[in-house]
Amino acid sequence: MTGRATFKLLALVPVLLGVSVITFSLMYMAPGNPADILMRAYEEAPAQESVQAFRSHFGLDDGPCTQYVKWLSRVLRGNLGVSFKTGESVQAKIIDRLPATLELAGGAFLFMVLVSISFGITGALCRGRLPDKGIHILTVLATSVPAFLLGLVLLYAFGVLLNVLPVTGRIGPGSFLLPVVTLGLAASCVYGRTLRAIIIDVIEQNYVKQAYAMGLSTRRIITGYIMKNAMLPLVTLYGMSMGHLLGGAVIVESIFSWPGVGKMALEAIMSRDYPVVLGYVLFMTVVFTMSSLAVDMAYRFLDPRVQEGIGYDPGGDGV
Amino acid sequence: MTTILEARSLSVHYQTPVGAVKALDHASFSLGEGEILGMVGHSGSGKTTAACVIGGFLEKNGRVENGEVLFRGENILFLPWRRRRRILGKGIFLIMQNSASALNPTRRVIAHVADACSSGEAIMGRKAVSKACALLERVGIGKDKQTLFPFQLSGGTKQRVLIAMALALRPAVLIADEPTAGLDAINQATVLDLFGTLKEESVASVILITHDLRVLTAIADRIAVMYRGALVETSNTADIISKPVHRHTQELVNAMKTIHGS
Repeated sequence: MTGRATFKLLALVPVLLGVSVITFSLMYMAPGNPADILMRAYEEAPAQESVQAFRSHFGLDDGPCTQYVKWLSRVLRGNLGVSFKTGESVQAKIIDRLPATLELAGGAFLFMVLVSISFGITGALCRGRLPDKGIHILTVLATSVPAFLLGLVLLYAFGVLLNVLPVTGRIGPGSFLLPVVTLGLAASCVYGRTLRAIIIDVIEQNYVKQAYAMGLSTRRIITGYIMKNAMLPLVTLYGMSMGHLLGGAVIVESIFSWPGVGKMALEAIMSRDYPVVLGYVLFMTVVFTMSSLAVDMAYRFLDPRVQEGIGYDPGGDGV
Repeated sequence: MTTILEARSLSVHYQTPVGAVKALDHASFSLGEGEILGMVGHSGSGKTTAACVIGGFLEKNGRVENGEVLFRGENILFLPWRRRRRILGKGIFLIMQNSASALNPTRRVIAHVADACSSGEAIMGRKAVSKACALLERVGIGKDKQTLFPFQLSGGTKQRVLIAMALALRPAVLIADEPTAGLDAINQATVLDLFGTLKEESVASVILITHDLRVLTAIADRIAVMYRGALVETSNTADIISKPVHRHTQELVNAMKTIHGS
């Protein structure tokens, strides 16, 4: 148990190194250099001297390896550097914008869990009937429409035509609804569909038949005999979805001008603000790994067979 | 003796890719109140199909072609599922074949029995749990094992958990499908003893299904012999052993005597 957690935490080190190398190389190879792009934001044709001053100030004249090593040694000392664009410390920037993103991703996560569970149960128990078919159609629609289009359509429908919800920004609970739905809907439908298939499979199990044979109420059978077993495989999916939600937040935050880390990352990429992008990527990697670790823990909590360590390892990677 | 359950000319076919398979072929039998009826036959003779049809859990590819099952005089075979469910548990309780898969792997043993208690007597929460605790003690499962999960128990203990569930439900008819399969001799004896207790305390009328004739001789009032989906002979236990009529019954009795001596 603790061995596995330690292993995952240790594995985080090479993962972080690899991710930072890849991100750094991609940023370095991308056309346009930060000095030019940033200076142009202030003046039409930046003077050669000021560009040069910028480059030497941030050490951009060094070779890529030197730059990376310098960056890494700073990070190891707990300093993610400062933004090229604003001069703010990257840590401060991320911490400042984190609550907004967590609020959005957390809301979308809750939305996803609630909607997928209700879709899954309804679909499985009304298999082939009207509610099931309705959910099926919604699923096809929600998964085939990309988030940016869905976001714009929702904006137009609720913000412009009906004018019941604010269009952009983070002001009050109303502004929260549209981004959360945009971010969570596709995943809710997909997981709802997955859960439906799992439930249908679990219903066929002998112990569920035995529970029916005992004359138990439908509610007791669902809560005591079906859901716990059906949720086991889904917990893994939920855990992995946390990473996708945070990734998807980049697009959704940009559409709704949601002041979170996703929007920050997109702006930083646009202006080749290396330290901010790298900081964001490192941060996301840690979050992703932590959520997969949390899934592991949850699994142990939910499935007694895993606690026992009897070699039963559903959905595990065998480590 | 009043009849509580009666199957009349019951035929069940399974649809398979290679055509229909007759699992039950005009099988008729009856179960008297407080009686233990043993059902014996080789594998594939239709014993489990009979249990599933009566218990309400016929496989999806199975179809009742003919006949009726009367429970307290009412044909329950074609009741809509909603009404059929009301009979399950307190009316007819089917203990599934293979106790290993009949218990929820993520639910503690005592919770299973507590569920049975609340289904049988409409008691909830702590009351149901303490009742369940007492019942488990009665079937010989001590407090230390009650909070374990099914996969942590032996086959015999799991079977006793199912019997504790039957004690909690006190069904009118208990159908046990191969309750002694895969158990060692000592566990078999314990489980059979418990079925005897069920009868003595007139908790339930029992249909006990097995392929082992010897198991039935100790406990059954009457024995029904199945052969290829049909009931070929039904008689008192003593008569079946001493003067079997049908050829297949004679084979079973001789086989038993060859293995275990007379």
